[in-house]
Amino acid sequence: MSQEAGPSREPSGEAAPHDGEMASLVRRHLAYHSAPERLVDHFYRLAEQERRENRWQARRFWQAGFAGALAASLTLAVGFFGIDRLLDSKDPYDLVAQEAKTTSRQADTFPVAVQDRIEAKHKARLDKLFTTFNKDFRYRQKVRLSGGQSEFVLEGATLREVDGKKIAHLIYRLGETRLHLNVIPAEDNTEWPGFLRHDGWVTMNEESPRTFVWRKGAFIYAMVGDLPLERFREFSAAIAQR
Amino acid sequence: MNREAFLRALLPHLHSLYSFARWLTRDGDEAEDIVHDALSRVLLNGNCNLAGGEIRTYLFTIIRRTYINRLRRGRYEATSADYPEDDSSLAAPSELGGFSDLPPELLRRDLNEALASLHEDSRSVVLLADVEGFSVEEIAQVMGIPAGTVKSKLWRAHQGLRKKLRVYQESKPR
Repeated sequence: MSQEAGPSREPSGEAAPHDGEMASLVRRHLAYHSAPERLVDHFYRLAEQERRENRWQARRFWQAGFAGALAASLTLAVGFFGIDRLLDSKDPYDLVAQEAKTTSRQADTFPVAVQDRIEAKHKARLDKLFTTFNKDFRYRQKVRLSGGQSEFVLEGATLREVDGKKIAHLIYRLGETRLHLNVIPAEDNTEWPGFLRHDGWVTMNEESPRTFVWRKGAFIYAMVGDLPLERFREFSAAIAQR
Repeated sequence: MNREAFLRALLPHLHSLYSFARWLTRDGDEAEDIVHDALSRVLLNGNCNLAGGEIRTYLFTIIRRTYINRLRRGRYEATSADYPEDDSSLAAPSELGGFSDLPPELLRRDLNEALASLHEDSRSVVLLADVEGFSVEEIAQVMGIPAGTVKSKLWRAHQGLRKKLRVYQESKPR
């Protein structure tokens, strides 16, 4: 997609000395390439998420007194419509995030659903599990955040298949805080991660449970858990630095 | 400037940044990758603390820096200038005549080919000055070179374009 060069703005300092005719030719006739829609969409989406994030943080302070009423309303809404319907969306990011939330909810709520969980202490079994998942994937048993004080320990992991796609589900714990990390191979995964062609991450959900989705190399990651935003970012960066 | 303000401020420049990257790489996918990579790194590293007026210069700086880093890793093949670096051997504009008699479509094609064949530095200077309207000081900041060097590079790049255009006109069947 290209067009002629767009109008240039007024320089804020000393204008560049130039061959006036040639500069004019360049300005009028040089091909100007418009950015692909998905690139523009990606950053508009990030901006919108950041705006929502900031708005949510600001609102949280003022809405503390209404937290009880809100929780009751949400409970009623979930009862009437079902959580899946509330979360329903065609957005590829949302699809990944929804699956991650479903996995984490099952793991937290229904122990029977995670009966095949392999305890992290059985490292040989974990190694075997992840070899069948994808030989390129290397999990971490401990994820240390900045300052060296916070160390998330892998509590367990499962492997399952949804719509023909293998999903590794790793559960990390720091004290009472649990993080659910879902890892999905990006290759040949055209249905879910249409917007996740590039490396990058995005906050999916500001309200509990918080959800992050990002792409790093051959994998798509979706993380679910109640953690401050900055710690979330640190965790995602620590996981990615391998 | 927080992350939200930074994101809002960069949105109007996305097309210009992409076009600049595309002219540097001469490849649409690579240009998209560079813009995405450069901006994502800034966001991830939290280097968003800029005054409003600085952002445009900063954005072009990081796009070009990302391109140069990739160029150094051998990801692209650099074009080399085949016009003399010595100003004295280049004719002054008045001696070479104008291009107004050329059909616009031919002029556009030749001009784009001529710019694509320039050295990366010269291409950057022309794009930043003529297309984006940056001042000498701003271009110097984007490229990390003295203002005087920007002036001479721009002058030589224009003369290089002029010379290449004349070669195209003389050699190509119309």
